[in-house]
Amino acid sequence: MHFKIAKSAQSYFNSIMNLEGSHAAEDKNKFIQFDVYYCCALIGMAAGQIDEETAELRDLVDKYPVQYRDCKAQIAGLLVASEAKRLGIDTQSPKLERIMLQYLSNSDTLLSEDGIKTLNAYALKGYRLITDYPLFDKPTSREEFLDAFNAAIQYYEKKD
Amino acid sequence: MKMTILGIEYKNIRKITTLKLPFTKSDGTVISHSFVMMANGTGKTTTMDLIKGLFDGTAAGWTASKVRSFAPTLTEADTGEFSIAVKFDDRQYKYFLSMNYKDGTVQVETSAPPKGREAGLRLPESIRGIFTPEFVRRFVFDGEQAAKSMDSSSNEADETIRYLYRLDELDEILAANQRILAEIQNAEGKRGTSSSLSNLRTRQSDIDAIRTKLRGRCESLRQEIAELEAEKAKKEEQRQELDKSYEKLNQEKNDILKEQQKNRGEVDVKITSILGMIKSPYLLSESLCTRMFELGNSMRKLQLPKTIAKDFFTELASEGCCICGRCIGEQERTAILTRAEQYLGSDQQSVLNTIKSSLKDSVYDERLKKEFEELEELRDQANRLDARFKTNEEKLIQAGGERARELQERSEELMELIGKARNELERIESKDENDESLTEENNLYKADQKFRYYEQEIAKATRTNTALRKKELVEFLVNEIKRQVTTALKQEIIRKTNEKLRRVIVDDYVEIESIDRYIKLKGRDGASEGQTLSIAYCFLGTLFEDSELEFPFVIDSPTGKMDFEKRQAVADVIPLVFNQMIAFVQSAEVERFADRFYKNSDSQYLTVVASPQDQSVVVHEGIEFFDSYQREHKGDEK
Repeated sequence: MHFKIAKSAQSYFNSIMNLEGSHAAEDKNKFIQFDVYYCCALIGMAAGQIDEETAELRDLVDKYPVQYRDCKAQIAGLLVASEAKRLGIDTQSPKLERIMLQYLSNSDTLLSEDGIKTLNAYALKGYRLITDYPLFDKPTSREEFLDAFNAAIQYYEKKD
Repeated sequence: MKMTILGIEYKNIRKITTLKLPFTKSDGTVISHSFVMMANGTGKTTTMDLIKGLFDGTAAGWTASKVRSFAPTLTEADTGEFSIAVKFDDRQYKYFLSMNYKDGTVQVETSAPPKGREAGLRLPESIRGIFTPEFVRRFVFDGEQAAKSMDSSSNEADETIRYLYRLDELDEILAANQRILAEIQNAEGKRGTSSSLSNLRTRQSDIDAIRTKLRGRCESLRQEIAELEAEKAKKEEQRQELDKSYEKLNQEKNDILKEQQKNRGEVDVKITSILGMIKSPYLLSESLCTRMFELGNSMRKLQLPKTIAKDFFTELASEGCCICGRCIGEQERTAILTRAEQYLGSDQQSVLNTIKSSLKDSVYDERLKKEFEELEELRDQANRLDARFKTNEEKLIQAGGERARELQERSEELMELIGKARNELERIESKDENDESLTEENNLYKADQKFRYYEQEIAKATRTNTALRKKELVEFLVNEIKRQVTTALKQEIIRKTNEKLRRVIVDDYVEIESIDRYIKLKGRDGASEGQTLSIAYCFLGTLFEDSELEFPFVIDSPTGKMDFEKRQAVADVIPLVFNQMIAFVQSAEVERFADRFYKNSDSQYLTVVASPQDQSVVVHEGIEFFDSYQREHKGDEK
């Protein structure tokens, strides 16, 4: 199972994101694609919203990039906690164990197929949310994107 | 293949009525090191332009005004001629550039005995096609080229390796492979010609024509970008020169630029720090932190994962007796296995333990919030600096008058043109499958896909699938060879270049990290002018040293702004790597560079000066005149 990003995200973020196969020197100060995916997933989880439209997605990677390997347990934990909240499951109830079994696995990513699929759905929703507000145009710099990301987290979390 | 230059001749060009610069000894053998000192205004830059224009074929496209710019200044002649005598291995060629100043036309001709003069630049078969403007500038070299080797917009370094090590011949194998398939398919197709097959062939040939057109467009766009970049750099330099006249404003501009650079660095550091911190998502907000903390808490309360694992019950079910001593019958076994499903496997337990222990550290603090606030402040600062820069720029333009405005407007126009060309190049070369604006008409990747599609369809129709598979296999193998050879060659080139660099640059740590289209330095974004020139010599030296093809090295102002130590080191490196060097030097470049060759018997010294009587240009041979002239005129150069 692949982590997947919205098809249109590649062109939307092409000024700040390193495209595959790009060797240009000006790309050395760009995000890797997974950075953008991860930020979008965080926005989706902060908002507690998913978008399960899989036709809109394209494969990114099937493992965490090396920069993310140390935080995979936290991402998995946040995913389970967010799903419990979104589905209204009392985390004190035995149902918690069931959703843990549903989303987690002893794979390299610690996530089951369902887990990755759900993280992709959060990322897609997060992408839709950030491009709805506060981004109105394609971001031209990494700092502009990070500012928007911070604003989106604060805004959508309060709405949740 | 070894190329040497035997001599150059001028007739009615600028201040020169007739002039011959020979680069051979009386017995006809080539002199390894020729130093030509040309006094100001005697045509050093003109000579470089003419050599480049003639060899790379661009002279044929010169505009009438460009041609007329070579018209004689001392006589009234309507025509002029520049020629270069060259030897490729043992065969002699002479190339002529004839200019008609009246019509503004130019004609390139070649004479290769026994044949007389023939139109066009006729090169030996084995190097035909490689004399592109970019390639010629590798051996007819100037300082600008050195900087270009390290320019990310250029793929010069890669292209030079491709031609010098004849990797282009692998492309010829690929083309032949393609031709063989077409021939097989044509032969098979003849057995039962159908309109649908002929249709497919027409479409394939159409798409192939588009591919050729797109590849050509990429080349011309790269060339265009390089030329625009060079002009932009020149305009910016001229602007900087002009700005220097307004000391206070110029100082303010430099201060702002320094502050902008500092701000950019601080923004980059902040971004890296934020990216690192958001990987601990509990730092993002209190509520996300609470969510994560509560999950960890619940896992503790529910005692997740349970200490007994599913594996225990599975094993128990296979035993004859329970640990309590009771016998386990079929009914009990089924009950144990069914209920075992309620427990986690030991592998799942370990996952939950990993997650539980990572959640227990979820404690929110305001570190990330502060980082975002500081980033915002840095962005505000960047905006303020931009505004200050614009105001300063306007003042400088006002002070500099019409000239400053012109330069500024042209720079902006050039930036726009460069942007447009880059976008077009990016569109042609993009491999983005999801970009719907890309079609086989404007994108090489899509055109290639379409070409392969027709290839497969034709194979199906002509029942030549086996031939197609063989062709694909050869293609794969050749491409793989190309990839592996290029990687190995680059590694060796980097190693050898770095070895030379350590000898040339002794006062700083400069090392090439990679060659990926252009030269990338380890741990730094750029180098000083002198260092850049040194890097280029060491890189080119390494390339020419081991390559299949040997070229002369014609160079204008070889030492530029190099300090004495580097000059000396470069002077020691050059004879080792080039079979022939022709250096057009300024008098200031003699000390610790040209004079290092005085004792070398395989060197000659030509001094080209304008006669004090009638300003006509004459040449003096020998070290004596050369050395005394440089002593008397050191510092005269512009």
